[in-house]
Amino acid sequence: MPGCVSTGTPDTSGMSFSATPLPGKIVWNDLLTEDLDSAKRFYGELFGWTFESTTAANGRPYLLARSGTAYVAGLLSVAPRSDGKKLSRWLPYVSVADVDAAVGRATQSRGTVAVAARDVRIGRVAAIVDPEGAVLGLVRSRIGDPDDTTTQAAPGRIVWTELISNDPAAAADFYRSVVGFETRTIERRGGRYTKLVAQGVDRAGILQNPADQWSPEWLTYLGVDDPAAAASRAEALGGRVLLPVSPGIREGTMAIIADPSGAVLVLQKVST
Amino acid sequence: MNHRARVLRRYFRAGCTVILVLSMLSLSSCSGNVGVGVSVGVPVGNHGFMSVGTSRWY
Repeated sequence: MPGCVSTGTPDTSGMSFSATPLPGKIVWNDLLTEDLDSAKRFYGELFGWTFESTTAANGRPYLLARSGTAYVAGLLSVAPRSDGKKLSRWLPYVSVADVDAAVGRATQSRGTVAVAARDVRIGRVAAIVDPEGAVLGLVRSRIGDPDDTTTQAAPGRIVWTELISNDPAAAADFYRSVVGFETRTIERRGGRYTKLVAQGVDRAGILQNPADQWSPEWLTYLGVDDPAAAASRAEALGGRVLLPVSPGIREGTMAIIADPSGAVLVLQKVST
Repeated sequence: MNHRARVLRRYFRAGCTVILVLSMLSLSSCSGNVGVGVSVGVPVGNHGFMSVGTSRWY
C-alpha cells in the first residue's frame, strides 16, 4: 500500500479527525533538518515533545513528534547540499481537495513545483514554491484531517502559520487560486494584515515583510507559556534568538528564533 | 424468486461483505498514519536583519 511505510503504527487514539478533509487548514508541519539529533534534543527539551522513530519514503530517518497525546510534527533528516546552501526549515502542509489540480493552478499562477505530487503515508502530497520563493506543502489526507479540537492552541502545539510576503495582495491572489482560500484584510496595530480563511475559519495569515533583506517564507508559530523564557531556553539549547520579545512587537507575545540547524520558528504566547 | 437468483444474490452479498471488510482493514492499517516526510531540496532564503525597532509586526 503506497505511503504505509512506517515501522510501527502510530497511536492516534488521542486525536480526532474530521470525517472528510478540511481544505485550507494547515494539517501537518515537517521540520527538515540537517542535524536530526540536535533537533530532537532541542525540540524535546523546549516543548516537551516525545518522538517515535520511523523512516521516510526516501529511506531517511523521520521522527514523529508528540505533544501529550497528539502528533504535532515530523522531523525529517535531510542530507546537506553539496553547495553548502542550507536546507533546514519548517514546512507547513495545507489541506487541499485535489493535490494534482492545486499544483496545476500553482504553475499556471507563476508558481513552481518543489516536489511533484506523490503518495506518502498521510495521503497524496506535493510542495510548491510561490512566485516570491516561499515553499508550501499541499496534502490530501486519505483519512480526514485533524479536527479543530485536536489542534487547539496550547503550549507545545503549532498554533499559527504566516506568510511573510513582499507583496501581500499578489500573494493573497496566488493562494486564493491555488488553495481556494477566501481572504480578509484587516487593519490592526496601524497596519494591514491579511487572513486566509476557509469554511469561515482563519487558517493562516499574510504579513507584509517587516524586516530588511528577509526572503519571503512561511513561518510556523509554536505555542509557549512565556516567549521570553522560551527564547532564553532556546539559546541555552543551541538555538539563536533572531527577534527577542519586545513590548512594541505584538504586545510582547512573540519571539523569533532559529533552532540549532538554522530552521526559523516563532515562539507565540498562548493562554493556558 | 427462483433458486438461481437467490444463489446469485447470496454470492453478491458475500462479495460486498468481503470488499467492505477489506476496505475497513485497509483503512485501519493506515488510519494511524500521520506525517509526510518529504524533502523539498529548496535552499532557505536570507533571514536578513530583524530589528526590535521595527513597528511593522502588525
